[in-house]
Amino acid sequence: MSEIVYKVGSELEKAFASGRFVVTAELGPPKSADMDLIRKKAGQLKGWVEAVNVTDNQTAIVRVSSIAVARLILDMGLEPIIQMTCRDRNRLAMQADILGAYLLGIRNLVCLTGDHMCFGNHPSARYVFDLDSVQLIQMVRNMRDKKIFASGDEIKNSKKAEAKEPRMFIGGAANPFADPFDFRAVRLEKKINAGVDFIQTQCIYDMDRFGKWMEQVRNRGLHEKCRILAGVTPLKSVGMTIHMRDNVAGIIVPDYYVDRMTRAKDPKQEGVTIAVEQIQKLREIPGVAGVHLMAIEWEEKVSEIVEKAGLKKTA
Amino acid sequence: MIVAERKPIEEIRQLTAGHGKLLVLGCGTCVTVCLAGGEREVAVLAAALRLCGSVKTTESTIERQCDAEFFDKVRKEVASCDAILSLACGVGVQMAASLFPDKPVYPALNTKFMGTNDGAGEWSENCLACGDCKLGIYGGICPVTRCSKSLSNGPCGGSADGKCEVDPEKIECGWQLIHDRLKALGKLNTLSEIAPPRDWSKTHSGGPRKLSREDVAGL
Amino acid sequence: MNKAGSSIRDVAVLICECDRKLPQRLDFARLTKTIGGLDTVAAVTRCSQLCDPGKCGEAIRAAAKKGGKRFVAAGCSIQSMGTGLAESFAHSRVPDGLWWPVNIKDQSAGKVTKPAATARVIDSLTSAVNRMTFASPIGTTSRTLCQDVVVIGGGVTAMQAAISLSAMGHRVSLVHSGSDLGGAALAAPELHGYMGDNPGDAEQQVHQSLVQLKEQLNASPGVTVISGSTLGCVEGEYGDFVVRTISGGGQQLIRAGAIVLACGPDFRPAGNPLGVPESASVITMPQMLEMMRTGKPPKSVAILMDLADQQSRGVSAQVLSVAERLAAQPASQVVVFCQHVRVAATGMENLYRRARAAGVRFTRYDVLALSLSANSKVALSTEDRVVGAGLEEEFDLVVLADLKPGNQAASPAGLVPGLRTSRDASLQYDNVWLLPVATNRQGIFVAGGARGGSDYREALTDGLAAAGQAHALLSGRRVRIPADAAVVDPEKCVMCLTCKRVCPHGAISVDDEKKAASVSTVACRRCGTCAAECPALAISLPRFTDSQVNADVGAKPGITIFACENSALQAAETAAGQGYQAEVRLVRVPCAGRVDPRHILNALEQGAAKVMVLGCHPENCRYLTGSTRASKRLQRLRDTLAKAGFDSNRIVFGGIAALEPARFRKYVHEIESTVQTGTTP
Repeated sequence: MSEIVYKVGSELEKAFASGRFVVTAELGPPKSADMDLIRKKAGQLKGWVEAVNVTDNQTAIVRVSSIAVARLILDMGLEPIIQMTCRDRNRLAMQADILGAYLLGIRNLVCLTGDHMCFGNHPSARYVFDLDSVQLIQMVRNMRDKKIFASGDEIKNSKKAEAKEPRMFIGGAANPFADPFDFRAVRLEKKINAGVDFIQTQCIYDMDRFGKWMEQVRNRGLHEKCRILAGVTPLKSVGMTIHMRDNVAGIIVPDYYVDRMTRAKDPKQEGVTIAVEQIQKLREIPGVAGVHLMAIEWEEKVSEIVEKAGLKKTA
Repeated sequence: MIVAERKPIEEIRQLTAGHGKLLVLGCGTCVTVCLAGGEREVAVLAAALRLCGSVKTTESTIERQCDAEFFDKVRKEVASCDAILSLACGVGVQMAASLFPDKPVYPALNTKFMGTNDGAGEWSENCLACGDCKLGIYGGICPVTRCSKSLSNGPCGGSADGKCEVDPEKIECGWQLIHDRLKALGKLNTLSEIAPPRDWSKTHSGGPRKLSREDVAGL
Repeated sequence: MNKAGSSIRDVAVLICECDRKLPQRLDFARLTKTIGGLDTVAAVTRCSQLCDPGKCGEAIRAAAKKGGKRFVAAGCSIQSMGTGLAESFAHSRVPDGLWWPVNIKDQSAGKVTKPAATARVIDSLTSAVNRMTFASPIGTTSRTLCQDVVVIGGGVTAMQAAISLSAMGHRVSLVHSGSDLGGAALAAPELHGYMGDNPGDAEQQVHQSLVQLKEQLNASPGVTVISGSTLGCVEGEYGDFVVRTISGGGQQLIRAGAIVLACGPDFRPAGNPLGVPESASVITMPQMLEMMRTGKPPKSVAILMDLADQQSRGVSAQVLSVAERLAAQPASQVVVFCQHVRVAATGMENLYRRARAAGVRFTRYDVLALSLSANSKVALSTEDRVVGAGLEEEFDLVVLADLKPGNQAASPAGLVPGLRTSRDASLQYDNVWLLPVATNRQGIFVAGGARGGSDYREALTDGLAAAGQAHALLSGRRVRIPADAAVVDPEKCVMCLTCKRVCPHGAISVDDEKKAASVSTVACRRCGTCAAECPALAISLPRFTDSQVNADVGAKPGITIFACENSALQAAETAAGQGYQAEVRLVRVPCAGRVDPRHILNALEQGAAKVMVLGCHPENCRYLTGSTRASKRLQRLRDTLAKAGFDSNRIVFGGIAALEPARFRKYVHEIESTVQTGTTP
């Protein structure tokens, strides 16, 4: 029997390697030092998904740091994935945090560009963007595989010491709905060349466009070089549906969903139904390794969606 | 070209409050061209200040405020005023302050950016003086300035219909522009290569910069 | 400050008695004494009638003998005195620019006491005297105008223009891109059903007309037809254009005095806003024409109009012409879905009635839904607004008749520097002063389809009009032009290009040798927009320099109205003639666009209670953009002053036309009623 060689050996990496349809979910940390809320959300996700993304100042709104929450939920028995944006940290802070996260037991890291500060609650803040997401991915990969910092120095405490590198399973984001459309698969390839192991897409409503993007991805053989998790966000209300269609950059919502949500007697239930349908459709698309459930401020529904989609994680 | 814009008049009045006699000093170069601080704007601002408050003004415009020699022409006026209200860009204001350390110097403009004049009355930013110009790689479109996040391997996920998420009505996605330009030049494959992290020490991040030409300076 | 420009005692004031009427209203003794006592006044001479050249000439000579070199002519309205005065001064060898008319008749009219009227007139004459101390003589330059004309286009408008120009003695180069002349009419004569009593007759009329035009063209001396050529670029100015044309063989440079753009309409099918993919069942008008010529069109056709935007008369003509032909087939079902049917042209009403008589139905819709049926028919559903009932019908074919403007950048508009066009497909900027065939650039005309028309007869009329206007402009061969165009001081110019960009007439270019902007004496319209925009104060307008305009404001401005001479001044004089008395200081300007914030601020600092800028109604400014600019400058000034605690209601902009004395009265009344007496803050 051949042994699988893991790059990092995180539970997420193992889940992908097993060949099963992987489900991950997102946990938005609280906007205050609220331990109870962290426990509550972790409790809603525990046992239902393979791993949990902890967002990093999502939409540029200040929340408890991703690494802190990741450690807390690790202690609660979940498999965390930290996110790191390029907006708030320079390469020094990033590398320091990666070393720290590794020592805290975290093994999965998603590298993101980050929403612009103008969207959040501190629009006057100065941006960092010392690196972009591609460069960040490359840096994390080089830390892991070449055991070097961005400066080129070896990750050693002193010349004679042993290299003690942080080993992260590297994730990235992809948006099949942004422009230029013909360039999106090229950009994914760039991230793969930089070292990304898995990616999570922006939430999908326009199945046609996603299908076309997956075709481009498969044509380049990218689905074999990295694991693709399709993003799904359950719709909570008509207002939310319209808001996502009109106001959120990078998301396309066909009018068909606006219609369904408007006509539904119980919009919340309809939203769950739609999410389950979407998951089922996504399972059928070749190259999709799993689903990433982004139930924004609605983590409680994850269990219902996972169960109805028949994806409950066993054991 | 340096592009600046006059500060709101209430702010100018607040800054100069308490001074009875102001030298309203214009600059004949960049700020004249961008219609913010030339002879005309000096006249308008001075008249508005006189009309709205009990302040006396002397008006003058010199060729440039970034070169000390041009201030010789107005030494008398400076001496006889309580404070200088400079309509130069930030550079000129600082020069005025350094030449006349005993006189309060106030800026009448907000210096905005370096950019193009896109038509009468319209300007847009396109250079941040990063000190390490890579325009040749990006088809002549600057990723540092034209991309709201200064990405070297853009675009990000917020690019839609060629517009930037920060302000889809006003800001074009710089990376869409780079993509289209390189495509037109047949060089789109350039973008498949990973651009390494920038050396930001060449920008102001490495400290306020100085430049000198050894064949000209100090002789 | 209201100081004089020079202190030499050489200003002479000629005061008209207006056939003894004015001495009844004004204390002439006091006038003479006070004005005569000014430092710069050499003489005050009375004249019984300034509008009489003999008497005027006498007065001028008398004043000149006493040392008068610059003159103020105080009389009645500028309109009445105007040309007569100009001739008198010219005859007396007083240089242009050194005399200035002042309307004291209106100032002293109505129910005002003699002392009050006299005080007013003293005030305005004092400022006029000050104004003249800043005046400089204005010379003339003469230009020879090239008499040749280039006509761009190959359709009926272009042919008619060429024929008429030739008949008036001009050599014409007719430049067109095709091989055959005839343009849109030749390409689709079927679309002009209004030209006859039935489709066949109409088509024949068009053909006959085309034949006639070609014969006339061939018989016209001095016309060179250059086929297969397009416009490359245009340089120069009226009287001295150089037109470059490009053809397969190479390039040609043609010198011309005037250019007529008769290059036809540039419209494309507007696309399919209903979202149904184009198929064999949903086609455009050009495709419909093709079908009608080559095969048998289906009998059941729906023609859709006004889907995207309200369509023009031309589209109505096309739709009616085609609908009539389609309905001629037995057992046809032809329905036109539209918002309007535009029939305001010769023969159009008749065509509409014929179409209805042939069985064409017309349905007005608010919302239209279109879907492809299973049997590849097209189903249309709407609510008929007139009948008020739902309507659902199936057709074999749907024709999308809407048109949208083509790519202006590729049209002549993009190739003629400084040419301002409309937002739509027309090459003519939308302003009443340019009608019928002028563009914003002198010497360049636009006619026919190129300015949006599509009526055959109107196309011919346009050609005639363009020829006539071009001829009028060029006749005289040699013109003397006063040197009163805007002047750029190269020392002060910073080459910011603002003046070049804002000039509504494309009259400013960059002189590389002088490293400064340069204004064309010939093309400049003397509106003063550039002088008011230049950030370096490098541009002056000789008859309306800043000093002169500020002098006109005077020492006691009260309510100051900067009055555009094309609109406000005339309205004011008419109102005065009707007996309206207004205590206002009218400052004459060539265009509201001449007025800049400094003039207004100066008036306020001089003590004006209120300042008004009155120009043409912005969309009909004589100089296209001047009035709009003035209104925006004023808004900016008001915002700034308001934020500094100043009562910005003291600055007002108003639009007015020359024939609106009532509006003038209204404006003044509004200002007067809100003025508070008091001194400047």
